[in-house]
Amino acid sequence: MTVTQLNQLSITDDGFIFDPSSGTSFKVNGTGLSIIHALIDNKSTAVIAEELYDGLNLTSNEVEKDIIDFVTALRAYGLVA
Amino acid sequence: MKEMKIGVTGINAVDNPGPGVGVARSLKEADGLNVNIVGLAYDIMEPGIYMDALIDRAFIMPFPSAGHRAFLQRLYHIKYTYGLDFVIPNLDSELPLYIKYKSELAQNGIHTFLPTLEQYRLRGKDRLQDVAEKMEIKFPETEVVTSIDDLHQAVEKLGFPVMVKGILYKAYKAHTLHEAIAHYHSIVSEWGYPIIVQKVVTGEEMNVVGVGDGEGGSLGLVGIKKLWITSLGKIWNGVTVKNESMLQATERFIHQYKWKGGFELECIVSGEDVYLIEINPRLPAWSYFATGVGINLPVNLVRKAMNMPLPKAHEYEAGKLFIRYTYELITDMAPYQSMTMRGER
Repeated sequence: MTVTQLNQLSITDDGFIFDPSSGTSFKVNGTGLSIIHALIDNKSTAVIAEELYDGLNLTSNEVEKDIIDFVTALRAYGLVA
Repeated sequence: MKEMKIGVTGINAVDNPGPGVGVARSLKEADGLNVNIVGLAYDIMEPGIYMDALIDRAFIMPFPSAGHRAFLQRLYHIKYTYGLDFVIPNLDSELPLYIKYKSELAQNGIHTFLPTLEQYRLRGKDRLQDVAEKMEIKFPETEVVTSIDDLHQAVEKLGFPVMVKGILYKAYKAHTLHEAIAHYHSIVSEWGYPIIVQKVVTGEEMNVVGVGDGEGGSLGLVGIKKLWITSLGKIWNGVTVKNESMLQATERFIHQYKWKGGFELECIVSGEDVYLIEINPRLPAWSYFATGVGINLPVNLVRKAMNMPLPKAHEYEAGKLFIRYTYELITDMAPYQSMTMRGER
């Protein structure tokens, strides 16, 4: 996955995202924001899952599945290739 | 600094606004120019006439259809009774006249910076496919029709929905053959033939405003996306964008045609694909948006035309908002009386 497109986004600390190429804006919650920053740092979904699932009443596999779903949504919006 | 009297048309700041007030505002905000704005209106109710903080003097012009002699005589009258050094025409209907007589106007001390007639004609929707190819971008699948039979064949080939458009004006979406036929007749009765039938493409509607220097280079470009439009399809809110595919295609357009003067390109962007939809051969009504983000296109146009120094950079930031709003002006009856009785104030 290329994070070049994510690097081009304007992202605020409270989760407002603006894509300067398309003029489209999005909002994400704190978890989504953490995942996006982790993707920009080139972390894999497995690593992100490990970092996120601590304290959650879920397995890391279940968390990773949700992360993959989230990345699929990012892809559908053209924010990642 | 010597004052420059610049005529600006299209000061009809109404629900279907002309570009003139935005152009006037841009000129007034110019650093290093001493500008006096002469409003050139076609109707005494054009709001720009009454905005005397922005428009220094206003004159009623004859319609271009009255003939070039009456039109030019009026400009010369304004020149010799008040002063007129430059004109920025902002309406499609008057452009051919200004273009055709720009040399005569210049000889009489009224300067312009305009495309050629051939460049002006690129706006015809039957020319856009060639233009898109030279810009190396896409163009929606299109058929040009001159009869109902042609229309039948076109919609069968393209499939619904389709856009039914006049060669220069009007565009309607049709979901059925009956709708397409109704739009066809509506456009033909007002604007004649041919009719353009075009496959609908989906994506983000984005526009670019710019000025070409007439030598293949740009005096500034700004890309925007409309966030909200009125029931008349006019922008109300927008945001600046930097879509590199669209901006680079625009630079190719300027370079290929050596475009001279203001222009607007209307595009649809779908992922990496950019589709050309329309060319407007003058600045659009939202051109003050470019001034607001640091690229004063009317001033750059005047500076280039008058061989004055130009800004070095033409950079702007994506993510800047354009918010149009309504506002009221309360004024005396005197300018209205003057416009009615003397055609000027």
